Amino acid sequence: MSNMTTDMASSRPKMKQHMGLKASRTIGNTLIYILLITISIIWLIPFVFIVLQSFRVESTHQVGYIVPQVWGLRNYTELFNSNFPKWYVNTFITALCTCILQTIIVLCMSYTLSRFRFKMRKPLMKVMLILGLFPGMLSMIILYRVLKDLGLTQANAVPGLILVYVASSGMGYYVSKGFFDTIPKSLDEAARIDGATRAQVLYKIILPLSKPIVIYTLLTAFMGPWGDYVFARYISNNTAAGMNVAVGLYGWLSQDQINKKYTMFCAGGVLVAVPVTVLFMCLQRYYVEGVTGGAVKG
Amino acid sequence: MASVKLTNIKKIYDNNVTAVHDFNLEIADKEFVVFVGPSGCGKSTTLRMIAGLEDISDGTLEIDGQVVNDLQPKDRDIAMVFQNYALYPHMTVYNNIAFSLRLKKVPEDEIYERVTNAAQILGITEYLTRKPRALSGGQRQRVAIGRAMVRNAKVFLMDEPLSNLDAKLRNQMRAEIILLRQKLDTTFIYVTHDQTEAMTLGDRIVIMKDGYIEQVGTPQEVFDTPVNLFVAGFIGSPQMNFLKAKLVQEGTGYSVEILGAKIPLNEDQVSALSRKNIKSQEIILGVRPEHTTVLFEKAEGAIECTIDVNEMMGSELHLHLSSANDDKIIVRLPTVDLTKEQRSSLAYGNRMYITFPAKVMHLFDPETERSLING
Amino acid sequence: MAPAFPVKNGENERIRKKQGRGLPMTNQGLGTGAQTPQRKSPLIVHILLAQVAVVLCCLLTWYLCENVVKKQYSDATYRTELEMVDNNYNAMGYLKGENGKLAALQYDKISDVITKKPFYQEIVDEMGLLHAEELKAGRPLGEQDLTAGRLMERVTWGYDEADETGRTITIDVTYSDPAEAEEIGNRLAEKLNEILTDKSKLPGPPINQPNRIEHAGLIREPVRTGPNTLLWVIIAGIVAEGVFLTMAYQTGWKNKLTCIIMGFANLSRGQVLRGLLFFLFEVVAVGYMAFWGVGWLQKLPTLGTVKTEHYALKAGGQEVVTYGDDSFKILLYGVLTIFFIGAIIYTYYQNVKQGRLAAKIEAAGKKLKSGREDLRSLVDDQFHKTLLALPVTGITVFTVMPIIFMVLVAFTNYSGTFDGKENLFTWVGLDNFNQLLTWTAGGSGNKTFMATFGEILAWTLIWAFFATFTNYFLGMFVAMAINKKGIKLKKLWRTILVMTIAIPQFISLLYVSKMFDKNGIINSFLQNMGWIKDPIEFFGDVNNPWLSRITVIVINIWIGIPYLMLITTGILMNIPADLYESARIDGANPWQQYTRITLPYMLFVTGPYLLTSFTGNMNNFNVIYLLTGGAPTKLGAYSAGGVSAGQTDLLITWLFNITQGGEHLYYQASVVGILVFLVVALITLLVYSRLPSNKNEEDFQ
Repeated sequence: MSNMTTDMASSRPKMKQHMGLKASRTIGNTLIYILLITISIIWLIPFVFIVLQSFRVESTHQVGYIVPQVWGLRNYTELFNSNFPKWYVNTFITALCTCILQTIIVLCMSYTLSRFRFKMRKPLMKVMLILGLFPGMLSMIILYRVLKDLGLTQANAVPGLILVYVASSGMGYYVSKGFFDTIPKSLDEAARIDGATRAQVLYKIILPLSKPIVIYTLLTAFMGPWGDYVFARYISNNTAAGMNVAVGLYGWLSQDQINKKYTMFCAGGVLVAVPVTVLFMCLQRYYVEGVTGGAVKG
Repeated sequence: MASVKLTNIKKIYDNNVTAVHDFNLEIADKEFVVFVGPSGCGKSTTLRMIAGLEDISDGTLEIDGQVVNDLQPKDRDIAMVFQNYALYPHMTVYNNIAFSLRLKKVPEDEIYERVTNAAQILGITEYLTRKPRALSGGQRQRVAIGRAMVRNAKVFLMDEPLSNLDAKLRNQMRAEIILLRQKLDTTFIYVTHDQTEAMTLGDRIVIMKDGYIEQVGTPQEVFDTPVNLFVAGFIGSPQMNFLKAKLVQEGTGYSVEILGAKIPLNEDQVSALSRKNIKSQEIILGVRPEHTTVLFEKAEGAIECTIDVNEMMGSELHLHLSSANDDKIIVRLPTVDLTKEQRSSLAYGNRMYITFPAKVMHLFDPETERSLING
Repeated sequence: MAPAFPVKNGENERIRKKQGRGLPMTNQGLGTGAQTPQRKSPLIVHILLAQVAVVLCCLLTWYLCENVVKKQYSDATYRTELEMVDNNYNAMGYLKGENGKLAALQYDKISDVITKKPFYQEIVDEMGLLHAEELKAGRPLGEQDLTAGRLMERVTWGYDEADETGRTITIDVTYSDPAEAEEIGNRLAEKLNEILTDKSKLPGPPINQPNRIEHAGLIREPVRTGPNTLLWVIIAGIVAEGVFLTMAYQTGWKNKLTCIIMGFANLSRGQVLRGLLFFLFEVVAVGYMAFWGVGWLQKLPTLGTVKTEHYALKAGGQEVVTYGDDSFKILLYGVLTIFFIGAIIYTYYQNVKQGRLAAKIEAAGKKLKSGREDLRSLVDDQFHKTLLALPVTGITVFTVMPIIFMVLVAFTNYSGTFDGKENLFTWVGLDNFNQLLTWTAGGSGNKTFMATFGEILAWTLIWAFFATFTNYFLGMFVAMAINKKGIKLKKLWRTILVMTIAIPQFISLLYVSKMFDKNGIINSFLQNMGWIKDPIEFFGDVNNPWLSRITVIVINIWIGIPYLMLITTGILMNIPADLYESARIDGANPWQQYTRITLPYMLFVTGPYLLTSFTGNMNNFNVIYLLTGGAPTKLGAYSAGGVSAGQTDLLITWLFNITQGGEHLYYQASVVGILVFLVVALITLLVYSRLPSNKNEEDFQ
């Protein structure tokens, strides 16, 4: 985005002299580099801080300086004396089950909406659009009651949460459907003429071609439960054994607990963030493909 | 026996748009039939209905005497070649071709035999281990044909298979399809928008427009005796010339008056016209460019025109002329026997004269567009 | 290749019609001439017959209700009390052991004595009652069900909890016959008394005085329950009318019979699978409706009238709790039943329709689909039904049902106090809406609901707008910067930003919110640099709400840019380069290129995305709640049930707080929820139809 000039400038001295193309471009680029470096720093700072703070052992409350004066692993070891491991395991199990089940459900829904034309197709999509406009909070209360009667709350929050996450996940078909739309329908037709039933078309032809979107769906489904606060809190209803990491760690930052638990929070945060981030970075390619490919298609 | 019979076939979409009206056709066993027409005429839709990829709104479809309206595509014993080949990208060429056989649980050694056989016929044996993305357009087309071939189906459907190829390859593949047809000996139904393909490949041509069949006939029939204006204009390249003229009945004879020239009609034409009791009327006269004679000087019964454009084709010139009442006429003039003076006189605005005999004239009613003699 | 002379289109149509093309469409796939088989007698006769049948049905139902279905009486409860005279009674006692010998057993509590089996069994055997269950030991309020063959009885033991030695033992006997209840109670009390005062059985100090038996009396009268005859007759009438009227319109005995026995049309024609499925459905449907469905529906208009009863004769004495209606369950199951009725009607309609279709197919001489073919088609042409079954069920049960339920709650007074169990809640109609939609302020000086709602709504809209568009344009800017020719290490920059997406949002948000605390890092930094003296209260300053609001928006930018950068990068790369080249040749400067080429293209492609992003931000719970919790809370803000609305609260966080706050005013939360939905839906509708994506699709393709 630097100033342009035309080649004619050199041969027509009457035209205004602009800066040389190369020079202006270099200035522009330098500015952009500065911008990008600044942005990178700003974006990464909080995480650097968290990591640093997690090693601070001279005090446990919030302080105004960044670099710890005394380094130690005490915050991490303390984690294992608290409810943190339980929360971690809860969240991990929830994420794992949700990831698999949700992917199945979402792919079923998006494949059907992409490939099949049936009478209820457009009404179904419109209904789901409208349902999505309701605030999710509302359903929480009744779901909690029902789950309670089924015995799936408080200490048993994990199955309850999985059920809640997975059951309505069909509504998130948007990105996957966009992806399936890009696979030509003539492949389906050729396979059907070759003798495949529609089910065979799905798992012999389409699924092998859908690796990126399957991985994308798995990844986003896995990452979801790690950060869910509202539902997890509601359904575990203050039973420590049923909480997930988000609810647990949030509790540590409440007014009464923060002075003792601030550094532990940082340590816990690191332990939660690192595996998820590493997984994400390994599969980053698929995530990007999913987002840029399917997310914004109409 | 693999005959195909369509009776009163209709396709009506949900929004009440009718794509195909009342399609009736009987295709004999081992016949090569071409559906041809401009885009949107319903030819692909009809083909897809035969394949089972579209529901048939009304009417009966019979393959080999059996009504197949409600049968799934895989149960109809048909094979299809798609316009964009539709090869399975994640499988090798071998597996692409073998796919349908594997679904039928054919033993592997038989699969091997059939696939390599087909590959040999099509000349793609060295590509069997490659994936489709490593092949060129023409090679992919052959794989698609191979995939359809090994099924030994009763009916072979082709949906504009050559449209995605460049011109030179298209000509080449056209010849190969003719050869293929001799080898395969099945019923072919071929869809195209290119009238050249239709003429060269088909035993019979079905010309469609806006969901209706305009004419069914052999290439020679539709060329020589088109039943209406559309067919006449569609078949043949360059397109037939259409001129405003007048049909005059004089006693028992008829003649055509056009731009001062009066051309009497021959016996067959006269008998056809009088049988239908046709009186004098305005007509549209159709004459093919290749049937007109170009004269540099005025002659008896010749029509005077001025030159608009002169296209050099190499062995012949295509002259675009305008008549006195502004009809546009295209004529073909071989270059090999032209003198230098004649060549230099072929400039914009110069006058030329054209004549044609009665037997090449096609007479159309301006209102109904139907041929007065053949329609 | 069109003819040289353009011919009018209308002409062709007329000509073709004259030539007899284009027959009207008849039955799908059956060819012309497929007809429904004719009926033999006129329709009116069948309708009249149907009416006769309806009347007969009603009479039959009336007869059954009044005379055949057993009238039941609910149980009566008789209470007897045994009062220990001696305070220092040491609870020990010998009781008969399993092998008939006396066993010395030591008990800490009286309840242990009286709940051990042998004692109880004696009484039971003596009375000639049937089968006593194992007694459950150790519960302060022991409750045993003796499920007899004919009658149900319940004996409740209780003792004064405050007094560990069990000064008063209460025996409640619930029995169908009041007289029998009295007798059993007395006998139990006497027997207990006997054992407790039997010197031969007790090793401890002897009791001098006998314990006193007090006959408390009938604490619950028997009540006649039974089917509500009038209701059943009306229901029978309606159902019969529907069934028989439908029957009148069918032709052929097979189709007529299928109106009564679902699935018959299929079964009689050889379609076993479908027929059985229909029939099974009918059995389940009728069974459910008769036994439970009507019951729930009956209570739906009132949401329950029978309260939970606590019986206590003496003040401070222990109680018997009898649970009455549960409003929550009534509402839930009542609504479910209504939906089930809808499903029944639909299935019934399908059943009849299939009968008609089958008749037509038979008349045309074709074959019907067999069971195996049906199953096969489930993985082929009907595969979409198979695939959608699970997701759609999930959505219906876990999204649609709760939403409908909560919408209905807005018309009740369901809250923490009126939670349906202890206190029933009931319909209040539009009261909630009227009450809360008043503009005038209350006397206390607090703002009314509506005013607060307006404020929060305004902020929600402002927030959604800025959150969406700052992220959008800044993200686009960053994407364009990275994408520019000549910038190296593109992947590095993108990876750094993408990494921040990976980290769970709650960690980032919580930590950053603490960074902005009074003694947090930001303030320390600013103070150390000497730029400020006192720490800035970013989030808590009541007098400066806009500081919090702006801070929240800024932090949201930090969260949102990486994702927007990803999306816009993908689209940017798809814009054909020759558009820019021709613009440059035409002399456009960078800004013009941006506004004339980039921006329109981006807006076109991401139009729908922006809309969903906007509405999503309106409901963006996490960011606001985790950052500020809605704070700061202004004095004088509307306070409902002990919950105040904060100044960075979105409608949705406010909603959450309402449900969490002391009184748990669920109905109020529902009202807010509905209003939120209406606002969001309105915006979506307005914007969606105006979106360029809908109008100008051709321009971009």
